[in-house]
Amino acid sequence: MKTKRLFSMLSLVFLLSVSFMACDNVKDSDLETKAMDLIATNPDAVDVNVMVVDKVATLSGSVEEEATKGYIESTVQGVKGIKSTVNNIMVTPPAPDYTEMDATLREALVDALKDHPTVMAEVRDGEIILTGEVSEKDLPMVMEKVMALNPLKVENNITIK
Amino acid sequence: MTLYDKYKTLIDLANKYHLSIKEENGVLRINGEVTNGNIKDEMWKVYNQLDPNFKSGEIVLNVEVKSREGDKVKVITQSGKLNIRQAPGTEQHLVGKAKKGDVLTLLNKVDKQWWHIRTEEGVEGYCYAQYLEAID
Repeated sequence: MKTKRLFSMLSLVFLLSVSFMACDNVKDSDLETKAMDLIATNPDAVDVNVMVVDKVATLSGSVEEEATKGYIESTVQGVKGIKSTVNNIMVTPPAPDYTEMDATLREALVDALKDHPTVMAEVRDGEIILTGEVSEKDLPMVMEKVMALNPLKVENNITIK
Repeated sequence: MTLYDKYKTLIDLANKYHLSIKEENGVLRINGEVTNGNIKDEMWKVYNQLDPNFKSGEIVLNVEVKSREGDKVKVITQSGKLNIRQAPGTEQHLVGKAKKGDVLTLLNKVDKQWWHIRTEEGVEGYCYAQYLEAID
């Protein structure tokens, strides 16, 4: 009877140690690869990096929006085996692109200033800069027409003649 | 002194007429529609008083006089004639001219700058909207 009990105890110990060993078999590098593969499918995450050390994932790099940062963290945290995630991703919003707005403003200015040939306009990043000269009486009409184009700002360097 | 302090009188007017007031990147933007040309003129007069000759660059004032298709509009050029064109654009051919004070029928607002109109004589064409004002 004693041997049987000893045998089952030994098997139990053996089984337990085997299962612990199986857990330890998941390598950090495997987890890293898994996490990177998941992120790679996300075009917003092209500048994001994952490092896994001792089952802790550390995220770095940059994204354009806060929402993306959170989404990537939950994706990585969802990888089986990763214990926790440290999120050092930087959110850097893209620089605004005024190309289209500037083109629209330039086109609209041609008509707006047609009756005011002594006024010149330059467009820069959504802002209209006026130069040249005009009578004090005509100035409000010029400003009204230019502001109707809805620029970000109007810089008035027109000389009153 | 904030922009709201400096231009208080203008902002009070804008509030009175339920216009939208926003501050964006150091520029005070006032937008909206008013029922007649006198209100628009009043606002521009106040703006000029607070910021003589509009030198500061701190305001973008964009107030339109409400007008719908079928309304009568009047020509408000300073003294000269208003060109009526075949299509929207100052490069387009002329189909006629209107005098200051002439009353036209608004057929359609193509966009904020160009309106399709008909004169009392029946001439149809496009005029630069800044020179037209709805009649009450």
